[in-house]
Amino acid sequence: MNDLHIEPLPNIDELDEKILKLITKNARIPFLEVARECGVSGAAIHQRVQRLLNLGVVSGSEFIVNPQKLGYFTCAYMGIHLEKAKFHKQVVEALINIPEIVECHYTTGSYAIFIKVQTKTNKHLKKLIDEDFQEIEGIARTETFISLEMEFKRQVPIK
Amino acid sequence: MTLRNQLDDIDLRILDIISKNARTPFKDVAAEVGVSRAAVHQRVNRMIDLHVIVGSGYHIDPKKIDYKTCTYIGVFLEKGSLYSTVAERLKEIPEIVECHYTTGQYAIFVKVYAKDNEHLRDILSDKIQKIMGVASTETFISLDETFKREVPIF
Repeated sequence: MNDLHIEPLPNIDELDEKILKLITKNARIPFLEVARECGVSGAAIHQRVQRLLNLGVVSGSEFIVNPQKLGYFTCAYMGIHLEKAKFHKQVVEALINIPEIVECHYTTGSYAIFIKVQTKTNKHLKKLIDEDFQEIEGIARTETFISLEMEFKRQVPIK
Repeated sequence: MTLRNQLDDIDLRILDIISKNARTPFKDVAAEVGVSRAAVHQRVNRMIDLHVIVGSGYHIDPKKIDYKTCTYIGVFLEKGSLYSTVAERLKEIPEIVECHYTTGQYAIFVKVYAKDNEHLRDILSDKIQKIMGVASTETFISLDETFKREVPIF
């Protein structure tokens, strides 16, 4: 448990912020274009992005996939109650093996674990709850909130 | 061969690669999938047109840019019919990164990144709870994001 103390924040200057704004919106933007926009050299952008990657400020890039177009029509949040708090670790380890779970949090409030699930249909979600979750030892019960519509989804504001 | 929304296996394999690293040169994608570079370009553009791909970007670790508190908030409305007006106002709060219309006890469910608990309090009491139509809120602070990933492509 050596991560209990607060990690010092990495130094991010205005140029870094400008670069972040551009590359978080379009991962394939040519670095030369970023350079032109920021008024520095292409090499400088390469260096800065590498530094941001090394610092863990950015953790890679992706094409953003629309889950619905891949057939994942049901998005749900689930709160999980445990039989005993000490089961937390073993339950999380079992949850990570279920690929339909895209997010998992340790939360305050009424639930011990809070997850986000993407399934193809409601029936698929039922199978997950009915079969997969039943096999996990330590889960007492679950509460499901189906998202009928995602109003928006975006990244954190960069200053 | 799987066929989902007019996507074939080659599309899905391309998607699998570029959704993990958007800057993979298309030349490498082509080599791995076994088609020409032009074909990769064409297929990616087609998936953009079909809205299978809705954009690209680098992932930011919110903690590293000072957003240390991640919270889920369930919002209760005074009347169900106020949903769209409230949702519009919620969109104006930049710290809210996700907003869903959900079944269950809450009308709206949002995900919020705040710099610290004090900032979270400001967002809650000065912004969210001041929106006309919001009856009350329930807050779940995430003490630890155990994992976060994309939907499985295959």
